[in-house]
Amino acid sequence: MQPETRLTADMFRPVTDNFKDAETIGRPSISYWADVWRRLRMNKLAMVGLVVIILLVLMAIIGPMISGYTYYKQDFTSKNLQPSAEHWFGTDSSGRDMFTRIWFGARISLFIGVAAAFIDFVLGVIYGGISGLKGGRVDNIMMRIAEVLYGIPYLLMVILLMVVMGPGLLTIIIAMTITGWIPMARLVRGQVLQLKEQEYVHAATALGADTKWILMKHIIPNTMGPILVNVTLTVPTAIFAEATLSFLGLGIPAPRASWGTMANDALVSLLIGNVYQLFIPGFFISLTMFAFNVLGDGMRDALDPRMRK
Amino acid sequence: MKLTLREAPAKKDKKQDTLLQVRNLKKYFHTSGGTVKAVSDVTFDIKVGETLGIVGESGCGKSTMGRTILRLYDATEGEVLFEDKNVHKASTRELKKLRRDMQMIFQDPYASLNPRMTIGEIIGEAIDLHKLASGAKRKARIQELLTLVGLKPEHINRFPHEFSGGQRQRIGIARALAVEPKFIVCDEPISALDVSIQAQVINLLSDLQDKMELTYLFIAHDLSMVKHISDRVAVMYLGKIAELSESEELYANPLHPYTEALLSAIPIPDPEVERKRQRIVLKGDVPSPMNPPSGCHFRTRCPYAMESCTKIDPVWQEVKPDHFVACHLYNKDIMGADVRKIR
Amino acid sequence: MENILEVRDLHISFHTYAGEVKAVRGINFEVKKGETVGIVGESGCGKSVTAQSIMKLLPQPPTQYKQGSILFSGQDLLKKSEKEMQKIRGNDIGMIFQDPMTSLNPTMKTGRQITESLIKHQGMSAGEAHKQAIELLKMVGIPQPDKRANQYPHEFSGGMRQRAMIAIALACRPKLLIADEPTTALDVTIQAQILELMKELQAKTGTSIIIITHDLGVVADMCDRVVVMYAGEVAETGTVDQIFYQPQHPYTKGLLKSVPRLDMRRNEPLAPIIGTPPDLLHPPVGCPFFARCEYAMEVCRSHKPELEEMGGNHQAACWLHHPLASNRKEGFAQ
Repeated sequence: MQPETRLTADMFRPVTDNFKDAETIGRPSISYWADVWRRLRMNKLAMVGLVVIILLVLMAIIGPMISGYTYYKQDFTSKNLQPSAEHWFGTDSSGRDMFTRIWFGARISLFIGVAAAFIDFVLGVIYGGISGLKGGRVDNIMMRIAEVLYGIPYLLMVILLMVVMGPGLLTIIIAMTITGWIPMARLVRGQVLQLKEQEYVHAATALGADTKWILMKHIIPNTMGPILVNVTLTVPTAIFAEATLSFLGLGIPAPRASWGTMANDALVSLLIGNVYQLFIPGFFISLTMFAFNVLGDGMRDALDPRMRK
Repeated sequence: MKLTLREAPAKKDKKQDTLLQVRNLKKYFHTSGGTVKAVSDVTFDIKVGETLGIVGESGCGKSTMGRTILRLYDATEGEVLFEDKNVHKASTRELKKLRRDMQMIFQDPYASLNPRMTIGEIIGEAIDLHKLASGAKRKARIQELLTLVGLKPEHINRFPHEFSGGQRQRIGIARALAVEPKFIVCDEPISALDVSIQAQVINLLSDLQDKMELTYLFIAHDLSMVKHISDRVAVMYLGKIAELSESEELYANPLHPYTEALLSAIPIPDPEVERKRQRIVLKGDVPSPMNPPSGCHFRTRCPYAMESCTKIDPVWQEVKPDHFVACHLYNKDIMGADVRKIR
Repeated sequence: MENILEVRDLHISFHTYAGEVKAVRGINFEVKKGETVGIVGESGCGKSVTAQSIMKLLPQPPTQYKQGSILFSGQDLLKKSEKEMQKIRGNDIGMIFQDPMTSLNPTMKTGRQITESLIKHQGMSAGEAHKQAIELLKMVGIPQPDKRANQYPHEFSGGMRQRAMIAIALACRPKLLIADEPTTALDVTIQAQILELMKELQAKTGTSIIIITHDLGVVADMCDRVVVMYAGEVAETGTVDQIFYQPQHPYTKGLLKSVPRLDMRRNEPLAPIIGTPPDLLHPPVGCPFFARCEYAMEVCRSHKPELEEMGGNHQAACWLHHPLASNRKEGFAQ
């Protein structure tokens, strides 16, 4: 409470400058993505995930070069060596340096993950976008086709592909994406259906914008959030699926290695007690899965408009 | 390029020429549950420089009508003529040109601005679409529009979520004005705003109308606001226009029983008046537009409903100069000697 | 007359990432037995927060009741446990919300939603409660109440849902009914029905009503007394006649002038209130209305006015009523 005594007649003179700030906005300006980044940064686990991913990528680039060994050079004089100063992660049953192979495998695994996610993204956005934008019968037919495709047993299709195309990186990626784009297409379609009835889309139509403009300026930027989360979560799924296939012997052929084939190779020496050969690729598969998943979850939370304010 | 808005021509002859003609306009939506007759057969004109108010309750089809006029929805039947050009028959190219003349202001100040775009981009979109300016001129034009609607030029790089509802609505107005339209459909532009802010937006719309010789179709459910801003008012009920007249006349002498009830239902911000008032309280709810009543759509709630209201569609008639109503009570052929006296 | 509810120096804050939002900042008002009190103000002025705090419906955290008390029949609701509050909610205090669809349980038959509280609070048997529920539905003007009691809320229209909501709120004959924007989501003709119904029921049951609204027409129609809130504080309070005919706060005056009246000349400009309400994350030190007030003085910038008695239990918080402001006040009175 203000003591009355401090008030003087002078203080009761009129002011006129009080309106000048009527339309001023006090809070600092922050763009949507800056705001998302700010919230993502506050999520410690997601930031750990992000740092791990960056480290993994860096090591995938430089890792194979720093040990002085190549991934394919076999040295039967030094096979099945435990991790040591010579071979940091030990050697495998053919005497190849595990450290080099792990980072070379990281290249393959990450490449498969990113390629699969990218192809899913492109196919999903195009298919889902058209389906959602056209709506009505076109939408109905397109979605039924997607559902039928999704119903085909996955492993059966992969084995068939292997038989037809033979094992290889391309086969794996095709196997990964042949139905992988469908969840993305569904997500995009749902978003588009919702967004195209937004008033700002009507406003753009009223201003004379055509479908392409609306898609590029309004719909795609506004679906980017959920799409990005989905892409982030597709990468580990693809890496894991590749590892599974490789582990089952459906992976890429030697001498190239992915984490999955390394785990597969390790099975033989597991019997003679070399647990590290299985443990090391297994660890990196898990670490990658973990990193992408916590980052994806963090992004989902950061993008959620209900958490805004 | 001159960066002023279109100068208003001298005010003589205002409200003489017809700007927009709506003829037997119908808009049906086909849903899994059946056909929703959102707009069923409306006909009216809008004159140059006037404000035509449309009032009605939710679901009466007023917003759908506004959007169909602008061809945001394709009409099921009927036509819309803007300066004698048929809006629904226009080619893509002609339509784009027409879009410069006919604009819209939306109801929801939160949903009508793209949250990913800055204010500059939102207003600039209109300029880019019609290639009206570029570079420094474009920026100057955007800032001019911001000033025009009472915002600050430095707001250009801010995002919609940083603004209050009233400020956002003004951004929506600036966007519509960017293409220098002649006609604006205002679709409940103030319904989502606070009372003190509503007046700001209404005054702005009035000022702009005077400055730029704009013609408005003003859709709202707030009858006192509609009366305040409109020259003429049309009352809609279940997809049809029940009554249309000059606004003072409509409020002083409502003819249609629905208009009467609607006027009587508005609470007036005056305790003395409220204490003395006898309200006509309508029974029941608005029927579904999926399955409107036969004959007169209002008959299920009308205190004067008669046998013939169930069977015969009321005729749209001019019962006195510039005062139209669709009600059997004013039809001599049906009422005979009992026809309602018109004051 | 006896006060059924007394709100004393209530402070409520929300804790957000950006800091503490002081939504309610020291408000005082009371509700007498059988009267209707309107709380008006713009969105964000704290009127809904106040209403919900009486029912203690706000989740804590982020809500924090910082200080003050809410005395209901002499007992401080803020000191009650959740369990004690459950006995009060729906029994002694009923509440009607703006959107009946979100406040009715969509998976429960409407009749059950009424009988539930009758069984819980009044100890009725299922049979008695069912009979009473049908009686209540009839009382709020729902046709074919026995059939309607067996329907789900989604089978009701908006107006019917609001009626059902009122039936639930009034089931246990509460001493106080809180109506938070009860007609905002409804059409005018339905609004008229609901307001008439509320008046009728109040005459019958003698319940006190708090009605939260931004519609001054609804206030004029329904209320005995009015509390005008601005930026989490009470700007002015008085009888409905005092508020509408002798407003003593520039904000009240501004609100009244900004609504068009049917007797106004067409195109006569409305008198809007300039600008927007302050951000309660950083409430202003002086009068919260300072930046939008056409009668602002130097003192308003730095000193917060207290609610002062204007006579006849009419109170306003404005420096214009200070003896030193006499020459400014003349301009205001006109």
